[in-house]
Order: sequence, then structure tokens, then C-alpha cells
Amino acid sequence: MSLDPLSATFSALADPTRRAILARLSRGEATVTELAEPFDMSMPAISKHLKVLERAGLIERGREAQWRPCRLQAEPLKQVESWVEQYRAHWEQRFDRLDAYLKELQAREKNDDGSGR
Amino acid sequence: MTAAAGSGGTASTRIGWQGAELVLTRVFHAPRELVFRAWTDEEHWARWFGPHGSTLPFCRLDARPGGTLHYQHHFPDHPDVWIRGTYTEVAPPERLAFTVGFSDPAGARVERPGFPEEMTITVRFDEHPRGTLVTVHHAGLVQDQGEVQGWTESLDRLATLLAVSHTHTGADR
Repeated sequence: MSLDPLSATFSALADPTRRAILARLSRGEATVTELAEPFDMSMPAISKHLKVLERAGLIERGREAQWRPCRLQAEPLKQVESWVEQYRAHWEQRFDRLDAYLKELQAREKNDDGSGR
Repeated sequence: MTAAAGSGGTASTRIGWQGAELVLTRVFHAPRELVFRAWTDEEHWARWFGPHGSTLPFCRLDARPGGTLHYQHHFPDHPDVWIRGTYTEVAPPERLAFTVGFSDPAGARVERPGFPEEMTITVRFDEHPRGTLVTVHHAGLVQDQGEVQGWTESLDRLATLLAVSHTHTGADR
């Protein structure tokens, strides 16, 4: 099953080790060895995480044969952000409309109450 | 982007994440029963359920457990969308839960690439000194729930990452 890009990003972010790796890379590029340091993890295990991040487009790896530093790629993160923002904005607007509508309803009810003023 | 649409400025929506769910809360200055009805009565609902400028030309809500909801969402600037879902919980005036997914006018499911097949919206209505506190949980935004449910940290972390890693996008609005 192939995921759409957004789900691939979320999926890649779903792991704490991978998020820690991204957090480290947000401070600047690093080699695999440097990235592996804080974790009690084998190099192959770290490499696996890096592959997931790379496939999701969250990191980029240098081409220099063994050195291959990793760099954070912000584009997918920005996509997640704008996608979240879109849902947030929709709810915000619904709530504004509901708020206005409830006020209108209550004003109407008051008037219908007869005695009114 | 979404320039503060509300008038008055006191109304504020709080937003956050719990796991992979979008969580929004807001206080409405109205009694709980009324707010609940605004969510379950189709005439009420059609008056507000959608972003500014959108309308629901067709709207059928059968707000009881197992009942369906089906509506046509009309937007001024892009094609209409039909939504269909099922109520999974209707407990007036406290809780309401329903699923939503894309459909056609007849109510048959429609797949739209890049969008979740089905999302679940859970709404809690709590008494509040100033009226009613509404809490919306919007789940299913992400396809692969299984994996994403492993999230324990909030997406704030992501925001931090973004802030550090890239040109800022106008943090406060």
C-alpha cells in the first residue's frame, strides 16, 4: 500500500527516534555516526530510520561516497503545517458562524417570548 | 492567512493535538441544549456548518446512533462536495460522534486521492460559566492511523522543528 505524501510524512514522524534525528538535524547537518551517537542503537538500525526519513523527503543525504552527511528538508514539514492549518481554519470559521448563529437564535427566542421588553 | 474572522475578538478557538487527532475547543455563549441542537438539527446545522461563504443546499441529518448524515457542500470558488457519514454516538446534550467521508449525490462513497476515506468527529458539550464549552476531536486526518497512534508528543514539537529549520511563517497572527 503506498501512502500519499502527507501520510508518508506523518508515518515517518510517528517514531520518536526519527523525530529526535530530525530535531538534531534542525541544528545542522550531521553524519550517520554523529546521528547514531545519542542512541543505543546499531548502525543498521539507524540507517533504517534514515531511509524512512529520506523516502518521506524529510532528509537529504550528501552524495560524497562514505561521508554522506544528512540534512533536514523542511518542505514536507511545511506541507503538514499548511494542511493542518487548512483544517484549523475551517473549524475556526465554522465556530465563528455557529457563534453568530447562536446569538441570532437566542435573540429570536427572546422576542418570541412575547413579554420581551 | 485566515485573518481573524470573528468579530469582537473575545471568541477564541484553542487548538492542539492528542495523538493524531486535531482537538479544538471554544466557549459559546448559549445554553448547552441549544448548542447541541445546533449540531443535530439539520435546519440549524445547515446555517453554520462550513467555512465562510459556503452553504449546504442539501442537508439531511438523522441524528441517532446508526443514523446517517448526508449533505452537499457548496463553495463559491470550487466544485461542490458531497459528504456522507454515520452517527456513532448521540447523547444529548453531552456527546455527539459521527463519521464523514466523500460521497456522491446518491450517497455512495467516493474516493478522492490525497484525502482520508473516512474521518471521525467527536464533539463534547460541557457546561461552562459563560455558556457551553465545545470540544471537537477530529480524527482520521491521517490515513495510517495504526502507526500514527504511536504519537505521544504533541505536534508542537513539529512547530519547533519548523521554527528552527526554516524561515518562519509568521508565527503570530
